[in-house]
Amino acid sequence: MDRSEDNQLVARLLERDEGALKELIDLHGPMVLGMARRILAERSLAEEVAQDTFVALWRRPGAFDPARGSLRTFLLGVARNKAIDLVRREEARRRAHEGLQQQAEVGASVGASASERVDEGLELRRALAQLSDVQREALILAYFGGRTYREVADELGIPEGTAKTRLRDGLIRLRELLGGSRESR
Amino acid sequence: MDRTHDELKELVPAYVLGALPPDEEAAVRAHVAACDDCLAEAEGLGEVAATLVHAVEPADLPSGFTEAVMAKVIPEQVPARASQPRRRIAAWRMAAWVGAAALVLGLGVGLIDARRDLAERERLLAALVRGEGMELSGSSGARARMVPADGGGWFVAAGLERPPEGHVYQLWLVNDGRTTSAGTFEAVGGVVGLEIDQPLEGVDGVAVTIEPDGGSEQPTGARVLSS
Repeated sequence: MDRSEDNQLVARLLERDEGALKELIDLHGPMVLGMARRILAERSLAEEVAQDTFVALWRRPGAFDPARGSLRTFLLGVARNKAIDLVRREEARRRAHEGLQQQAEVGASVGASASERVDEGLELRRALAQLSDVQREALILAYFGGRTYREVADELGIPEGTAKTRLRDGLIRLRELLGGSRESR
Repeated sequence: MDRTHDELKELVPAYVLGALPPDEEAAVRAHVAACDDCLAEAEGLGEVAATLVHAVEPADLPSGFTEAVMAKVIPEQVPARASQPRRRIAAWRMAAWVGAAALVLGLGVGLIDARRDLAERERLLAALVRGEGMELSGSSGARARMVPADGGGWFVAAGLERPPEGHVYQLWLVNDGRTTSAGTFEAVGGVVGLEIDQPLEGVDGVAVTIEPDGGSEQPTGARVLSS
């Protein structure tokens, strides 16, 4: 991702340049929508979250701090928060449930489809694939499912202490796998 | 809050994943702020957790996606008006209107010096002074008036508070029982002036409600002004 291009586009947003917003949607829209789709099974809800992520960027471009990471990471974080807010409402949660179960399974078979993006995404998904199934499942439920560790325990039928351990072990294993090759965020 | 350090440290992984119930999240946040050991743990694991956003695969944007975003952002810059070429005139007219409304409604703000559209401004002022058009009032002392003009009209309001975060005001015209939107706006400084470019003939009711950003198809929120 070309960060200086992102930063220039954000600077144009501050000048209320609508063309810059359109360019940013072209650049990052598919990933932002991908995040929303990953969390929300229902397509129309996911699209609305993705749209609102860009609306939020337009309203407050200053909320993005280039010193704290890339624009893409920022936008994906905004989209995730918005989507999880929705998931945490009971009804949306029920709809998302089925999709999530599938993701926990597909999460293991990665690497083939993303040859064009030799970036942190590919590396991360490879690392995820190397976690144990139970670690990956717990992490995905917590991170993309918006579940608390107690709900993770409940859904997986394991004690709360085990859920806590799986989350911790999963994160630590992930850190080892990503090793020193990661950019410093 | 009387959990031990060890118990709280066990919750740090769930904390950095945003996977704690609110009460435990507050307890861990407070502890992390005070404990170097747990702060280091939270920073280290937090960095890993942050990389999880990249597990996402891109999805093809459906057609109309960009247009839908633009439709959500543009109305708020140009209240009650979507076409760009006329924006500058609209903005100028709005400025003049804010002055007119402020003067007429006694807010003590000076009338903005008008270099153009003087005749139109005077016509509006005269209409406001004579009390022409339709008057609206609201619960918290807000007042407004809709004044017909050629092929459309003017809507001026004073005494509106800023809408809540994530919300806008939306103006509605009621015509023979049918309610249609005349646009959304934000009240900056409590005073607003909008040019309405749809005919007001036959309009027998005007209302303003609070709606989610981008406006609604039909009124859903609290009514702050009505005729």
